Amino acid sequence: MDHRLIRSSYVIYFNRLDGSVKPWLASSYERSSDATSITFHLRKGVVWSDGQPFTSDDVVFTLGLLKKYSAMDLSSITPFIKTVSAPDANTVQVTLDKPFYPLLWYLGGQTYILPKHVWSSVKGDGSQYADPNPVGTGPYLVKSFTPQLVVLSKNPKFWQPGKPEVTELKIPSFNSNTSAELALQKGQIDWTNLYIPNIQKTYINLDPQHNHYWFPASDIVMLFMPLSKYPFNLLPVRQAISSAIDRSKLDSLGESGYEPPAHPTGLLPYNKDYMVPEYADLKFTQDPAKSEQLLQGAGFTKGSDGIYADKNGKKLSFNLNVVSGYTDWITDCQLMATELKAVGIKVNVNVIAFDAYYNALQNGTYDMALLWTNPGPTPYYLYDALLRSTNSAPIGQPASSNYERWNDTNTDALLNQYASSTDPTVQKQAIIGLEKIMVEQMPSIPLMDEPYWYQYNTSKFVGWPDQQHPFAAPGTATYPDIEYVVLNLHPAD
Amino acid sequence: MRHLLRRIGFYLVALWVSVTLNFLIPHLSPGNPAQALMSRLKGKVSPQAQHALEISLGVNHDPLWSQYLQYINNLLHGNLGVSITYLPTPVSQVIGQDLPWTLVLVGVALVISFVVGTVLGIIVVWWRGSFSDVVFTPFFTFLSAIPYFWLALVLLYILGSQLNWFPIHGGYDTDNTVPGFNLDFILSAAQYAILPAITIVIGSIAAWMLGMRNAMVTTLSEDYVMMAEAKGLPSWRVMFTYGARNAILPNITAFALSLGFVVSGSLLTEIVFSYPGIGFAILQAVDNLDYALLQGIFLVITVAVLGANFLADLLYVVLDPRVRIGRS
Amino acid sequence: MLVPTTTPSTTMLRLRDTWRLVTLNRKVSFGLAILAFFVLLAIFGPMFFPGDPNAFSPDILQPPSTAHWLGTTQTGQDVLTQLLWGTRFSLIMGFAIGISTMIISVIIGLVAGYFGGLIDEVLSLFTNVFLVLPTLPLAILLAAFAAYRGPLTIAIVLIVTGWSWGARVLRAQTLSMRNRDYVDAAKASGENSLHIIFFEILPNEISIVAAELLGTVIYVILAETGLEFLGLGDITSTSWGTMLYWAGNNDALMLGAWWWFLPPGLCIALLGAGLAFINFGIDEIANPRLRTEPKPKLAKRNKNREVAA
Repeated sequence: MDHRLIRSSYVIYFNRLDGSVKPWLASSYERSSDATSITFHLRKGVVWSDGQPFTSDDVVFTLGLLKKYSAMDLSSITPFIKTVSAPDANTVQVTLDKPFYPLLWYLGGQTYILPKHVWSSVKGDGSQYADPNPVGTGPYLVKSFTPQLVVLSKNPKFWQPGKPEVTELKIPSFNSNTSAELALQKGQIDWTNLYIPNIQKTYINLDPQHNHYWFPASDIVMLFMPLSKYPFNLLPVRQAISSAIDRSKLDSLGESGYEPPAHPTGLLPYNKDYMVPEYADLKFTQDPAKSEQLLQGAGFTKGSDGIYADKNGKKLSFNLNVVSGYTDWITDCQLMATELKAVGIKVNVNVIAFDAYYNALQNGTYDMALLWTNPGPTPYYLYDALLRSTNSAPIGQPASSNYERWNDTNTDALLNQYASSTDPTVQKQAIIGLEKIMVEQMPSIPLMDEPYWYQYNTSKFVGWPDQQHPFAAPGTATYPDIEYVVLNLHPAD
Repeated sequence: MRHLLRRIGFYLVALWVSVTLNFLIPHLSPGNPAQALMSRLKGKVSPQAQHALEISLGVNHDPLWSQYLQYINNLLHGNLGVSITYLPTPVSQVIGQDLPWTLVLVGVALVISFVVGTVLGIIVVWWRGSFSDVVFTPFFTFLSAIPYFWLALVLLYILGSQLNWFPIHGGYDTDNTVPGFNLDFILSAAQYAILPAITIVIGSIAAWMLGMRNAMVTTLSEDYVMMAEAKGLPSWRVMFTYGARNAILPNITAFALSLGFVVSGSLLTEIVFSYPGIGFAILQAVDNLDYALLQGIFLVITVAVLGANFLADLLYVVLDPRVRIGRS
Repeated sequence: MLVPTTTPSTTMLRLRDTWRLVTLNRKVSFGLAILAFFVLLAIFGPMFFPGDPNAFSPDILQPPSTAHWLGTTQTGQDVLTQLLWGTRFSLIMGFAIGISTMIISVIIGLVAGYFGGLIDEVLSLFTNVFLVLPTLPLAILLAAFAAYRGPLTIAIVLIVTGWSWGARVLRAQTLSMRNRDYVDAAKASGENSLHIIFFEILPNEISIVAAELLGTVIYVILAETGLEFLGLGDITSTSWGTMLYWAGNNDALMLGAWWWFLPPGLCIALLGAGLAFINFGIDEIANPRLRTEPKPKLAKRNKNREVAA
């Protein structure tokens, strides 16, 4: 089960939808102008659920633990940290070897602080420690637990007075989408994250006054190809593939109309501030004739079977990997295979288990694959994971997130320019440079904006995030936003 | 007695084979649970972190035979490992929580199905050749061929969702009852079990009915039954005292055998109804590459099946006078 | 030999005999009629509805109409086309896997029963162990961990989990046959053991093999559908199981798309029932006491009729 609503203990809260930052366990923070140190001023009067005070000691201890056991350091932040000190019980000072602006997100927004008085007695690698009775600063405590149902009850020692107003959370587990949907239809679920084909008919229309959904974009689904492999190293081939695809068809047939075509820059809709004006109206359009033109221009000729081949007779024939069970993506892949065949590229949809699929991506032993991207509060985070050369690896060795193996010094320089600055203008210039690389060089092919799946019912509680109030990433799978959402809820009249 | 020892020996061998299979099958897969966990974390894990995760989840790079010995050793000490689906709950605890649900649901459904099916079998033979046989037999044959999960989904939709007669998900009313030995909970659990139980009964009743019918028909043509008929005994007495009593024997052994399948027989039904039993757990385990949990469940199922077979062996000795007298 | 003139009449005679056998028992005729119906669908259906059964179209989730007799799916696929192609796939899978399974059952069952002794001990132990292993969980376990998901995986999984029952039945039967006169005669004339097993004993057990085969095919079709429904098959292929998988995953029931969901399930049930009827019919022919219907006119048959070779 998930202990995250109990442990909570994030230092600051980031709203990914607009990049804004709110104080959380730290009531404020300062960053040096060269981005080499951050000082957090911790909120006074916060206590752990077992009654012990939350202090700067806990933060220092936690970062020490992460440094010692890299398994616990899921965002790999400790290599950047030079020193961590606690001048007093409510102040933490972190200094870095070199400027690294994004640390605030990884350390402040993504790392939860552990209680020193509990964890200091844990022997060895803490990642192996199965906490039987989690202690946290979060709004809830475990009341009961069975595989079928987890019940959380209000933490009376929670630091926000009067919160949470939702005094008990019941988290049932469903084994089939069908039964989860039936329960949702009957109003037995107030909040969930389901993919429901035709949600208007099967959910909203049943009770239009109380049943709602909101699917804001969360990340971009892209088509990956290993660029160090021929012929994917040829830009015209990538462009030909891209212009063969009708993204609105993927959206309407594969995704029930929930995943609109992505922007060629790889920016999400709420990254508008970073958009270069000349790209504002840019969009992907399907153009099979252009695809064939590009292929011919790159020296490929069409064979009698309608498939293009190079001068040596090597055909454009590829496997497109997709995970079994991801039914929407499988439909997308089948659609793309048909469209690519029409422009003379043969694609075989290869449905495999996640582990095989993921191994192939990591090691670069695939032709084409559909995959999500990893966004953060600004466009930097997606570009960093996707494009930075240190996140790549030679074919046959595991890459951490740059699975298409884009290796470009200019890109790395732009990423460093963003990371080492605190000046928004300098950072924006870096992002603009990265947008150009995405549009002009197409390291991977953006397809659709994938949303946060999110349905909610307002008959018992109100105060949910929606289009007009995008105060947190919705859905029940995004941390720590889930905590922020639940604290904003209050009983309906 | 020698016969019994032989059987026990056989069951021990069978147990060993299944434990070994159980160990080997997950090693066919190229992936490991650390990756499954990563897929849930959506990446963001460095290779070092992956290695550490593998260690913490018991992904072992020792030679296969050494892993095998460790596995057997752990089993002998009752250690089934930790479930990564319900981290950090031990597998034995997950199974302990799920098993009673399956046992009660399928157990009750099995008894109902057995009793009703057997009685139907007698009735069909009673009115042999008449309307009932012409209609019942084909109808039940058709029923027996319907895929369980399909029937479950159709019933779920019609009776649960459209007509609202039954709850549609889970094992009890999680809003208003507290699990434990109290009337509210038991009534609620019973109410939630009706629809899955109906599915299992409909799906399995035909086998009992047809089995009983065939056994009855065969028995009724035995000489001693003919004799009883010729002596002018009332036909109901012939039917029950001579026919059914003897014909039920194979059905009872089949019943004992199917007790073992109680644990596994309703996998798909449980999955459709999100019923909190073993079937539910097995699908969760498959989705999460939760080796330890899968192996634990498979072990429990195998032990149950072996136990039931042994019971059937014993029952046969006790119930069938021919076997009993022949041996003593 | 007057081969040219006698052959047609012999053929006619055999056809007539087969026809009699078919019409001898109502259950067999009924079951065969159902089976024939599906075989015809599998052969000719795809001819009348050619093209990719998985082709998408903009006609999403249409109820049955003249354009789409059984409506369309969430992605605009024609349900009838899928059903017909699925019939072909499921029948081929059912019988191919069923026959493969029976071949293993026959080899192990007959060898164990004929030789007896240590060979029998070992093979019987093997058989009995597989008999008590729970099949569906084992199949799920195997299918879930296979690196490749597709028809071949399903075939292997179902063969591994399905052969033991038939082997046990055939072993018992062979045990009772191995001391029959004709076997002794063959032994005396110096035939080798394999010849005796497969050319003397096997033909005499063909009715049991047939009955077991039908049972196995029913098991295979149901289990295959179950595995595919769980997404453990190749879900880009078109079979009854994958149709149900897609229908289930795309909320066919919730959207009221009964035309998408009901046909595959009904087809499975109907085909299964048909095979079961043939099976019961064979049982009744072999064990006439089971027969409760009015006696057929042609009651007397020479069961061990020598076939001129």
